[in-house]
Parts: sequence; structure tokens; C-alpha cells
Amino acid sequence: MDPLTLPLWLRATHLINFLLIGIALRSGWEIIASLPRFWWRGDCKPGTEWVRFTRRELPKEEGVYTSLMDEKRLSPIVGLPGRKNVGLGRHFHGLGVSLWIINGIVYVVLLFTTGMWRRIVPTSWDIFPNAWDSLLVYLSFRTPSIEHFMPYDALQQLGYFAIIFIVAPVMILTGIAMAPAVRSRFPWYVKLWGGHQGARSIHFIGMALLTIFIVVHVVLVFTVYPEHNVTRMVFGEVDTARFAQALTTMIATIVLVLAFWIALSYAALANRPLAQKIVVGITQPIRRALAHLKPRMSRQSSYTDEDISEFHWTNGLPPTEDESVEWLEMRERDFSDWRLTVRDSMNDREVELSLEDLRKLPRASYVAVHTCMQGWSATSRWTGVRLSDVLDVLGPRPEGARYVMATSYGLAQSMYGNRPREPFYACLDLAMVGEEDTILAFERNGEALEDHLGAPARLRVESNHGYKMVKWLARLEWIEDYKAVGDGRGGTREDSAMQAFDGRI
Amino acid sequence: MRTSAYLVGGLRTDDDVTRLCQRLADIGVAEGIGAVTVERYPAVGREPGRDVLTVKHADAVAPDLGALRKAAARAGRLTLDPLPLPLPLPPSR
Repeated sequence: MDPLTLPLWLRATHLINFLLIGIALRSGWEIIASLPRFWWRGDCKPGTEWVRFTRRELPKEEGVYTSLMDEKRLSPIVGLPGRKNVGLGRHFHGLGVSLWIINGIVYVVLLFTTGMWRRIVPTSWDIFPNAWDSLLVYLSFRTPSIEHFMPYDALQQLGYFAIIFIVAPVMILTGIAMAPAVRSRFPWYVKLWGGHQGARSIHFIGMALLTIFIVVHVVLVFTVYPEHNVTRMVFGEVDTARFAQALTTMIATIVLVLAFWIALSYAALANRPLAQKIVVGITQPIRRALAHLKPRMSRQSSYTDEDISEFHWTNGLPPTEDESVEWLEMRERDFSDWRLTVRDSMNDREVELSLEDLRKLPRASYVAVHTCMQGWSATSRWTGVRLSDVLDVLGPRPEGARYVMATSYGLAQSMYGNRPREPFYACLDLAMVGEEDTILAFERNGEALEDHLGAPARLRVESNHGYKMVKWLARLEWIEDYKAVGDGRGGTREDSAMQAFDGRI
Repeated sequence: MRTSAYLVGGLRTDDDVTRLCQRLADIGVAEGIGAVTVERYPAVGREPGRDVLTVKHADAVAPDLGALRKAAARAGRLTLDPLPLPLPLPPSR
């Protein structure tokens, strides 16, 4: 094979990679903007971040500031989709990255089956001194001679190898580590990366390296022997006579891809529910597959009381007088008259349970890492009773009941379209309800649950992100379907922030 | 935790709301603001629609109206006027 040619499959996967990497990066920036700080320590204690992209200071005190206050608005030209839409950003990230991985697998398989891996994978230690020499040439604002490019020079080859075989796999592995479904089943794996924040920080560093690589790569394509690079990338071989044609084709393609990226943002913002429905629909099989992973809590020992966090962020603040006078009055009485309504809406039956009633049920207690979809985390010992045991008090699951709806005394922080707020709610499917570590917690770290973390009782659904874990719990209800509740997406954050009903990723 | 409420004038789009909340978040720690929410009440009959900003803050802290107005002005041509509590609850509550 001519060492200078680029076969069609390589050019095609490269173009697809360009399209998808933009979706992955821009949606990644949207996610970062929802909490533009990075930590190595697991509790994200204010003031301990190692890098941040916001001037906003954080209060040192716990429970006086919601993490939603830290969100930054990105322009739709930069973020996907932009304008503070972390829910849609996460869905686009999942979709873009899934397709990017498939494209990457096709590329790597073809690379090895065609023998072209020799262009990328160094086979001699000489690569390092040669790459160093090449770097010195570039740093002196000169260009290595054309003979060095067969088709890549040593520095180029080393760069491609590092991105394809080190940075990209590390990003995939750290991305997986941030999924609650993976963390709750294989906590040792997350710990391997330094916990959720370690994985998040390494993922960010990978993104930064990838972004720098792309910028340098594009600049060099157009500045170092462009007539060779451009014609080879468009036509597969060096044909300097067709440089103008190749350059026009390449620039037109780049403009089209950029236009597509930005159009995707505005199209998603124009109809956010539809965008959520389409993208979540495509990525749902991945979430469904994660539901079948082995259950947690059996032989769980990766996180212990030694790992308990010093600090715990909160997303949402306790109910105030305009939200629930009832909750405030119960708090005044130490929740002695708090009652949880457990209801079967289909047969119009209900029971009321006090904290004492709950304490009589079998206890569940474990140490788990809580993650918010914004990115912060905290480790606590949660103690309470299994949700399935609480529901059993009402009797067997009513016929036709497929979901449990949990409703809070607190109101949503915001509603879709900024319409007047309603009580916060979340629905769980039967798989989530039946998980061993889906509990109704009334203690944290051996003490009564704090006001700002959901007193007197809250949901814990360890296989999911925090938005499923209703705080200041008022009611549990068996329902047939959630379509008729709220906006029909299964929860307040699903309705308002376009999160997925299934919060396992 | 307590809530203070304000009538907002000048909001046109949901993105205006986002911009207002961003500017208020910028002064969040300085003013002791823990959460901000804008609720857009539509016009009903002869009752005109109105946009209500609620600010959650610690009991001991009262956000400075001047600082809030300054932040709102940075978000656009917006006005803020204090509203007495309790607010009329929407029928859905």
C-alpha cells in the first residue's frame, strides 16, 4: 500500500468523528457549565476545588445555597444546547459519545485488519527522540522536511497514538465511572479513579487535551504542507494539482458541520420536550441494560464510615412559609406529628405512617456516594427502611400499578416555562422500587436527617442520580402510569429540566 | 430559611428569566441568597399576568433591594418591586 494514501474508510470515519466529537464536546461543556468547578476530594467542599470557571464564590456553610445557583448560561453557539439546559446536554452527550465510540471501534478494527495500525502505533523507541527533534523544529517556527511525513512525522504519530489509544479510552472509562448504576454496583471501580470527583476531573483533563489536540491538529493541517494534507484528506492521495478543489470541498464540509452543530442547539431549544423524547428514546436501551446489572448491597464493602464526607451540597432548600406552612409547623414540633401518606390511587386506599411506625420496620443502613446530575458528590451513611417494606404496609402491589410516585412538601425550584411552581415529585418504576438500596432514609451518619437534606424523611435511590430522591417526603402513591402527572415525563426534574425518567446514567 | 418576593417588570422571554437568575446568582453569596425562582403567572380574565421573583435566604439575612435591582438591571431593562407575603397560591397547590 502506498504509505501516503488515505483509504475511503479512514476518511469516512474521520469525517464522522469530526461531526460527533463536536456534539460530545459541546454537550460536555454544557454539563461542565452546570457546575463549573473541579475537585479531587469527594465531598466538593467549597474552596477546595483545583480549578474553576466561574468568579462566583461559594458559602462555606452547608445548606444555605442550592447548587443550581452555580449554573452558568452558555450561548447555544458554544454549548449543546446552551442556555442552562444540563438535562438535554447530558442526553446529547450520551448520544454523541455512544455513536463516537461505535465509530471509534469501526476505525480501530479496520486500522488493525488493514495493517494501517503501523502508521499510528509506534514500533520503535526511536519515536521519542525523533518526536523531540520535530517539536524543536516546530518551536523554532520552521517545518520538518517533507520526507519526515510518511504519512505522519514522529511527533504527529505520537500525538495520534496518545489521543486514540490513551486519552480516548481513559475518557470512556472515566465517563462510565460517573454513572450511578455503575457506581452503585461496582464502587471499587469508581474508587480506582479516585472516586466520582477523581473520575470527573480526569475526564475533564482528557477533554482539555482532546480540545487542544484538535486545535493544534487543524492549525497544522492548514499550515504544514497544506496542499499535501488537504488533497490527501479529500481525495485519498496527494494530488497538488487539485488543491483548490480539495480546499473548497474541505472548507465547505467544515462550514456545513459547524452549521449542523449550531442548528442542533437551536432546534433542541425550540422544542425541548421533543428533543428530550427523541434523544432519550435513542439512548434508553443503554439505561435499560444497566438496570439488569447485579444488585447492590450484597457484600458491599468498598465505601465505609471512613469515607463519610465532611461536606454535603444540596440541590434545593427546605420549604419556606410560601411553600408549606404545614411542614414548618411540624418541624417546630420535631416532626412528632409528621405523617407519610402511602396511597393506592387505583383503589382509593391509603394509610398514614409516623416516624415511629417507620422505625418499627426492618432497618437498612449503608454508606453510599450521592451524585447530583450537575456533578457534585458526597458520601454518607444512610439509614432508614426499604421502600418496598414501606409499601408492603399498604398490602400487595395493586393490580396494574407500575410506578410509585413520591411527592414532597417542598415546591419545585423551577417549572417548565417558568410557570407557577408545584410540589416536587418523582416517579420510580418497579425495578427501582425493588432495588435493595432504594430506601426511605430518616437518618444520615447516625443522626436525624438534617432539614436541608430532606427532614424528616427522604428517598434514597442509589442506582440513580439525586433528582429521583425526593426530600421532605409527604406522600408515596402507587400509580398505573405517570403520563397523566405533571407534564407526563415522570418527575419534576424530568418535566422542568428534561432529565431522563431513568436516572441511572 | 425564608422567602422574599418581588414583582418583576420587563421580562419577555424565558431566556430573559435565565439571564436575570444568572445575575442574581452572581451576587448570591454576597447577599445571602440561597435560591432564586421566577414564576410567570399568566393573565386570567381581567387580572393581568405577572412575573414573580422569589428569593430564598437564611432567616437572619435580608437581601438588599438596591443590590437586587442593580443585578436585575445588568440582566436587561428590568424592574423589581417588593411583594408582600403570603403570595396568592396557584390552584394546583
